[in-house]
This record gives sequence, C-alpha cells and structure tokens, in this order.
Amino acid sequence: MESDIELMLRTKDGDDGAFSELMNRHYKGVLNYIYRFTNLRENSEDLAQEVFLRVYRSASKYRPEAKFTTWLYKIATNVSLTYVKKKNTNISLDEMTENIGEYEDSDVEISDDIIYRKEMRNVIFSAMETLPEREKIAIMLCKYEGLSYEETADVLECTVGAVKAYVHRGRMKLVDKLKPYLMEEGKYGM
Amino acid sequence: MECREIKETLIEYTLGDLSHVEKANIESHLDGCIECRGFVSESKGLWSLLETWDEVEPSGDFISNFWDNVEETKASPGFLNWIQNLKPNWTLAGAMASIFLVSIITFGAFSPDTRNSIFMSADERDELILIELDNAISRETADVLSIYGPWDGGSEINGNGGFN
Repeated sequence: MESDIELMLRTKDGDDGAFSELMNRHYKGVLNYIYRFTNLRENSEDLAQEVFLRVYRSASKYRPEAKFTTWLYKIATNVSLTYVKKKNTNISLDEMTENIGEYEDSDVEISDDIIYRKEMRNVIFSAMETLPEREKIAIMLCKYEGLSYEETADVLECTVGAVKAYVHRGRMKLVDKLKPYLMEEGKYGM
Repeated sequence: MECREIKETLIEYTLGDLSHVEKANIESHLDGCIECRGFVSESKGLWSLLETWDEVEPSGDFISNFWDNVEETKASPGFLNWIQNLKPNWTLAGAMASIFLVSIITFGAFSPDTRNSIFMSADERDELILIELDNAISRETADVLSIYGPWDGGSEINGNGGFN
C-alpha cells in the first residue's frame, strides 16, 4: 500500500485519483475531529471539505518534510479554531449542545442508551470547552485521533514534553469536572 | 513517596516512562494509599468515559461532493480567486518598468518645448503686421517720390523746373 506521502506527491503531479485515495483514508477522522471541536454536526462536513480543499490547493507546494497526518490535522485545527472563534460571537453553548441529535430519526424510538450517550456527549463537550485550547487539542488528537505525542507536538508546534504536560494537566482537570460520571476501575493501569 | 509526587509522576507512570524501581515505588504507594488509588482509578475511568463520545458517520458522497466543489471553484474563479491565484512575475514587472522609463526619457527629450507657444504665435502675428506696414510705407513713399521723378527716364516731368 502506498504511503500518504507517496499519494500526496502523485497528487502534486496532477493525479486526482491519488487524492481521492488520501481522502478515503482520512476524511472520517477529520470529520469527527471537527465535529468534536465544534459539536455541530451539520457544519462538520462542510468544514472537512474546506480542510481537504486547502490541502488539495496546496498540493503544488507540498514538500514531504513532515508526516502527512500532522499537516492535515494542523489545517483541520486551524479551520476548526477559526470557525469556533467566529461562531462563538453569534451562538451560545446552549445552542451548540441543543444542536446535537438533529440528524437522528425522530420516528425511531429513542432508547435509554441513546439518551445516555447524547447526555454524555453534551457533558464531555462542555467539560472540554473549559480546558485551555492547547490542552483540549492535545487530548483530542491523542485520545480520539490516535496521534502519537510526537505527531501531536508537530501539530501544536511544541515539544513532546509540552504535549505530555498538556495531556496530563487536561486530564486532571477533566477528572475534576467529570467526577460525578466516573466509575472506579480495576487495578491501576490507565 | 508522597501523594503529591505520585500525582506529578502519574503521567510518566501512565506512559511507561519510569524505570522498574520507580514503577515499583509508585505501585507500592498505591497499594497503601486509598486517596491515590482513587485518583488513578478516576483517571483511568475518565479515558473510558471519553470513549462514550461516539463518532459520526460521514455522508456516503463526501468524495464526489469534494470533486464537485473543486469543479465549481474552477468554473467560477471570480475576482477574489483571481487575486489569490495571482503570482508576482518579477521578470514581467521589470520589463514593464524598463519600457516605461525608456518611454519617459525618449518622449521627454524629443517633444517640442511648448512653454512659449502663445508668445511665439503673437510674435508671428506682429511680424506680419510689421511687414504689411513696411510694404504700405514703401508703396506710399514710392507714390510720393514719383511726383518728383523721374526714377527711370523722367519722361513725365514737364513745365517749369520739372522733368520731362
């Protein structure tokens, strides 16, 4: 299987099929990253399109110096931050949390599990919103997108040690915020 | 090890960055400290709790929508896109600047000096008037002198003291 960098270099040479393959690999991750960032389902897909458009337009200038995913998530982070900052002037947190579930079929009977998950989404999103930006991004990239500390450091343009500190501090704060929802787990390992 | 130290080194413990000795020290402390054990459990519970935030499924036509967007952008570039796509061509800019400078120098050197054109035309008019006046005076003088002729043969003068 070709690497992301090879596909991007083919895109640079005008091979649109290679870019379709790249999107196929990453669009779900980018979409969910943006969704967790904004908590707005209906806009996440448009923003994900915007991310890939930016990548595609920059293909001619692409240099394989960094891992493709770090470049991709750096763009996704910028797009999300810009959107959230712009949107926050016009929309309240309540409106954002109410927006969840808009795409769920209202005719389907809502089970307790769906209600619980919907509530947890709101609770987690609200807790995440209280974190400093870098702690939030570090946790989202490491926890949800599966990026390593090194890759996250590239996205945030900081050291690996700083990323570890962001994740640790953010995690401790989230423990405080979400204490009522935490259940004790078995022996130590995390 | 104290509780504060445990909490500070928890991240290294989590990542497996500690030596065997340090790891054994932490686990020994955890065995005897309910508070720290609770803290570690909550931290582990948090990671599990975050997993309840489900993923969303993208629409099936994400990639075809993307290419439609690309086509739309290409079809209607618009002024903004034109500005964005405008790349500075320094060679062309240099050539244009050179042509401009040469034009200024050339036309500046060979164009007529029109600063005194009004006076020049006035002078010309005056000169014509003077010539005409001069001619008129010459004719009049000639007529007057012809009384006292002759200028060429003196045939017309007669009578007392006149010329014939």
